[in-house]
Amino acid sequence: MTKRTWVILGATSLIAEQFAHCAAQNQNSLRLVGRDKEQLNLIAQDVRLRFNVPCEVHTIDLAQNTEKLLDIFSASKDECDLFIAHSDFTDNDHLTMTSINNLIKINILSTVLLIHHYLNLDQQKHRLIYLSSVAACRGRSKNSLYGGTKAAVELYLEGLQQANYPNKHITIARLGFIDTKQTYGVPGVFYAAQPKDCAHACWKAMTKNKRLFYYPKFWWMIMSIIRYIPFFVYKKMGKH
Amino acid sequence: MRAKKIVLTHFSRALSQESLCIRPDNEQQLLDYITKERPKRLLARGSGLSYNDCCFSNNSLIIDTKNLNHFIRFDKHSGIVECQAGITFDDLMHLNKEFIPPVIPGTLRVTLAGGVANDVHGKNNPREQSFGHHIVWLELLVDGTIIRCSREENNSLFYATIGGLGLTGIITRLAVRLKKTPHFVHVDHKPYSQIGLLIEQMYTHGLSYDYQVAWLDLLQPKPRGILSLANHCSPFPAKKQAIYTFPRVPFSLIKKWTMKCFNEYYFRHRKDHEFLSLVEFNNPLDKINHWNYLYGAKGLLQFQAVFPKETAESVIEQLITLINKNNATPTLAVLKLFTHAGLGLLSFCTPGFTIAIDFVNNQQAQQAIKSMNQLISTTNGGRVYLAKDLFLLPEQYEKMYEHHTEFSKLISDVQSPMISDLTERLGITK
Repeated sequence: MTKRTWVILGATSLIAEQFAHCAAQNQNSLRLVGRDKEQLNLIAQDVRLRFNVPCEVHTIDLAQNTEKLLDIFSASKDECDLFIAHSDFTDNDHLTMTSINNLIKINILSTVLLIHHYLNLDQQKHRLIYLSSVAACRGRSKNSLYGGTKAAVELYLEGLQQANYPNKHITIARLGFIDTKQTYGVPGVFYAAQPKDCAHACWKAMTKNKRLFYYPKFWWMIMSIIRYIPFFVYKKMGKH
Repeated sequence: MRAKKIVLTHFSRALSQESLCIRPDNEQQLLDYITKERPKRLLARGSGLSYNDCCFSNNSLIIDTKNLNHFIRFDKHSGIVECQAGITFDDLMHLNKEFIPPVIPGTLRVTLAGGVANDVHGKNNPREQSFGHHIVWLELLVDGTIIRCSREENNSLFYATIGGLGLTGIITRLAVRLKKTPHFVHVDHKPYSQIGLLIEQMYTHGLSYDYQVAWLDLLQPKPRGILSLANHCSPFPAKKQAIYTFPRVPFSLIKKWTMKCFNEYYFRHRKDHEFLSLVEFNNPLDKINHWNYLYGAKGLLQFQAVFPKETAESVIEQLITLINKNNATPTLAVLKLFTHAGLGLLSFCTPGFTIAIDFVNNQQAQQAIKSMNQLISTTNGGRVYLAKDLFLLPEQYEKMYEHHTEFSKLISDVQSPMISDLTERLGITK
C-alpha cells in the first residue's frame, strides 16, 4: 500500500486538530499547515507523541502568500490527501475593503488554487475533504458574503465531482454549529456539536466516498426547508 | 475572546450553578486575556468531575481549560512527560504502552491539573504515594505572569499548589514522572465477613501487592467485603473494552433494595482470580458513560475520610451506626490503605485507612454526612477529603488540616484571584 500523507489546512482549528488525530490513528503521516507557528508546533509534537507518526509543520499565511501556496505539496514524496479547514469569517455588517479582500483571498482564491494544484498532482489516488458551511445553502442578510465564498468553492467542487474523474474522491462537509470559538458565546446557537465528533464524521464520510454530507445531520432537514421557502417569506425571516 | 453563560454541574450532580465562562484555545489567548482584563475573581475548571464545590465559583469568571491539552515532550529514559495541564489521566494512560501514570484516581477522565489540585491518590499509596509526589515541576499563571515551581524553585508555591484546590493560580503546564510497567494486572479477590479481619489483611498481607482495595457491603446487618489485591503481570491479548452510555433519567434507579440485590449478586459471583487490563481493574466504572445518571436528577453524595489504622475498626463501626441512625442509603463503599502522607500543604493523604461511601442524595444522607464529618473531626488523626465534601464547617476544616494558616497566608501573599465556593464556605480565602 502506498504511504499517504494528509495535508491539513487550517490545522490549528479544533476540527482540523481532531481530524489530524483520526488520520494519525490510522497510521497516516501528516503535514499541518497554518499561520500560528507556535500552536502548529505544539499540535504537531502532540500528534507525534500520541500516535508515533511523522508530522511536519508548514507555516504560511494564506491571505498573503498565494505564490508560495503550492510549496505545501512540493516537499512531499508520498501521495497526499487534502483536508481543507481554513477559512476567514466576517459578517456583512463589518465588511471593509481589507476584510472583503481577505475573505475572497482566503476562502476562494487560495482554496481554489490549492484544490486545482492538488488534483493535478501525479498521484494514483486523490482524496479531498472540504469543510463548507450551511451558510452556503442560501444567502443570509447576516453573512451572505461568507456564505457566498463557501458556495463558490462548493460549486467548483460539484463540477469536479460531476466530471467523475477516476480515483479523485471529493467530500464536501456542510457544517452547522460546531462547538468552536466561532460559536462559543454567540446568541442563537441552540446546539453545537463537538469538534471531535465532527472530525470523526468527516473521516467516516471520506472512507465511504460520500459526495456531500451535513453535520450535525439534522441540518439537512433544516436546510432542505430553508432552501425552498418562497423568497417573500424568506425576506421576512431576515429582518433583524 | 467571547464569554458564555453556562449552567455548570459536577460529577455527583448534587449542585448546579450558572456561571460566566471563557474557553481559550491556547495559552497565549489565556495569557492575553488575563493580562488585559485582570479579573478580580476567577477559577480554572478542567473536567469538572469533583464531588464537591471546588469547581464552582459564584460571581466569578470560570476558565474552561479543556483545549489546553497537548503533550510537549516525553523522555523514555527518565519517564518524564511534559504536557499542558488539561491533559487527562486517560491521555496519559494511552501515551505509551510501556508506561503508566504512577497514581491513578477512580476515573481517568480528570485532568492532570485537577489531579494536582486535589493531590489525588490511587489504590497503591503504599507503593507510589500520592500524585503530587510524581510532579517534577509545574507552571502557574498568577496575575499575568507564568511562574515555574518545583522542589527547588518557588518551592513554597509548589507545595501549596499540590492539593491546593486550584487556588494558587492557573496550572498551565507540568512535568510528571511516569512508571515503566505493563498495563496489565493479575487480581486476587477474597471475601471477608468480618471487617476487622479484612483490615488486618490489608496492613499485613496486602502490603506485598502493587494495588489493594476493598469493596464493602454496608447494607447487610453485619457488614461484609471483598478484598482485591493486584500485581502487575506480563501483557496478554486483551479484548478492547466496550464503552456503554447510560441515558439521562428523571428518577433514581438506585434504591435500597436494588443495591441489596446488586451487592448480593456481586458478592456471590466474584471470581477468585482474574487477569485484567489495568484500566478494567482500576477504573471499572469508566466503561459506562454517565453512570452517575443512575442516581436521577438529585444526583449522589460521597463521603470520604481517612483515620489511623489503630482505630479503623471502631471508626468504621461508628460511621455505620451514624448512617443507620440517620436512615441514609450507603450504595457503594470502598476501603483503601495509605501509608504515606501527601506532599502538599492541604493534601488529604495521611497514613491510615480511607473509606469512601456513596449515598443517594437526600436529607437523610446529608444529615448522616454532617454527623460523620463531626465524628472524623473529633477523631485523632482523622481527616475528611475536601475533593468529596459539601458539608464541612470552617472550624472542622481548621482542626483537620494543620497547615491551613500557612496555606491561606500564602495565597494571600501571592494575591491570587482564584476563588471557589468551597474556599468561601470553609473560609480558606479570607
